Amino acid sequence: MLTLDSAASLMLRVCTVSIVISCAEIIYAHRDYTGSGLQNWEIIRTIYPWDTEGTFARVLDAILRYPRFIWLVSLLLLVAIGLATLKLGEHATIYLLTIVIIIWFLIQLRLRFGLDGADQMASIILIALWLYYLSDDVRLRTASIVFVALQLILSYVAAGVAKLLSEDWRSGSAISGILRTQAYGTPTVAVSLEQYPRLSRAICYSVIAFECLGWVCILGGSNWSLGFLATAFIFHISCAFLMGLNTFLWSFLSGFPAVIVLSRIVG
Amino acid sequence: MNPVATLGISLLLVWFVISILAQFNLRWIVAVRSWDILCMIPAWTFFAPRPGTTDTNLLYRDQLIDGTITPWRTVTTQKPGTLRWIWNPYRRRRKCLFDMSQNLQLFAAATRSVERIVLDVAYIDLLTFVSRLPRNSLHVSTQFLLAYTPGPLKENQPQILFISGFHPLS
Repeated sequence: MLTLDSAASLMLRVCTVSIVISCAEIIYAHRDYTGSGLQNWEIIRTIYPWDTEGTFARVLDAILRYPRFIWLVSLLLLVAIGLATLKLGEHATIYLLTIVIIIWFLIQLRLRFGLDGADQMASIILIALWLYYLSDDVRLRTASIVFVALQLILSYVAAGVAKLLSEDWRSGSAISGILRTQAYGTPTVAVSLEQYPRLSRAICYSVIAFECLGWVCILGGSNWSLGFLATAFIFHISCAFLMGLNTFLWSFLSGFPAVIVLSRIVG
Repeated sequence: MNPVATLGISLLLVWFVISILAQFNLRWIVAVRSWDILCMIPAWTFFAPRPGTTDTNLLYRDQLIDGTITPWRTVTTQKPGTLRWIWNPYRRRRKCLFDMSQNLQLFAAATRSVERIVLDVAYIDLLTFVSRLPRNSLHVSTQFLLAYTPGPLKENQPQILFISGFHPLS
């Protein structure tokens, strides 16, 4: 039986895996964050006026300038590993989670370009879990978990409806088009799909149907919701292997316990 | 109810309502999003309605001291490896390039001025990046180009998105 506490603990551990991977990847590609890299802080910081003038700007600049930014990411990596692996009490968890959230959002500020939906889902889950551990009020705790579940369901349904309205998805050309790219693709699979347009179309419609059915997690009861989550797991594993969406897998997976809790509450 | 819980639940409720509204392309949501520096308002329409079926390529060429122009060179972005399902360290670089190309297009559409595009952050960042690539003192100015290709550049005809002017190398 998944209780609120065990769901929150599981969500935190899985979500921090996504953060650990993100941090390790930033550290590995650290040259991108230097003055001669594509993510040049000197330039990116000029997007907002408060980034270049005043005390806040000076503090941000001191923290986010290379190589200090990489040290900050390294600190987050260590704290996130601690949260993912150690058995901590609630007080220790809220302190470490606060550190993770502060550094995570500093990183979001630094990476004005290059963020994705996995980062957004991780941010949502971190804030919800922070509210969860902030108070022992059962209503707030339940609301935090339900909020994550609803955001996850919204993400599938919104993506499904957007695909349903898309000619590229309905014609079946979307999936082979995406897989043909170097950034998100597996060209050998794309070539095969182009030879079998019916299969390509069937896959597109399967993705649309699966995503649009996200609402069954709320109204369909526990069994439907477990079935949906099993399909979602296969979907994210496939996206990770075929498209290289590695952090999506962990960020979205970390919301699954919340959906199970929600389906039990509704059921 | 304790005030922390009241505040927390209210915050989550408002956030979720805004998240639902943000899935529709409402004008005021676009305005709110411009202030959403921490990306807290999600847009969950992954790869839809127009799926990303192209790669974004950054190329540059230089003018030499004698006036000759070098051929276009591609700024290489590492291919994702076989372990990319767990380890994909250059995915942010590729996404960054894509986001910058989108930013340039939006800026150009908003200002409707070719001259003012040099003020865009993405333009300045891309120009600085190509300007700081290693080269010798014979190169006096540089120009960059953004192109979309349906797959790797070597195998596909590029669709040119944007060509900058020549800028002096310091």
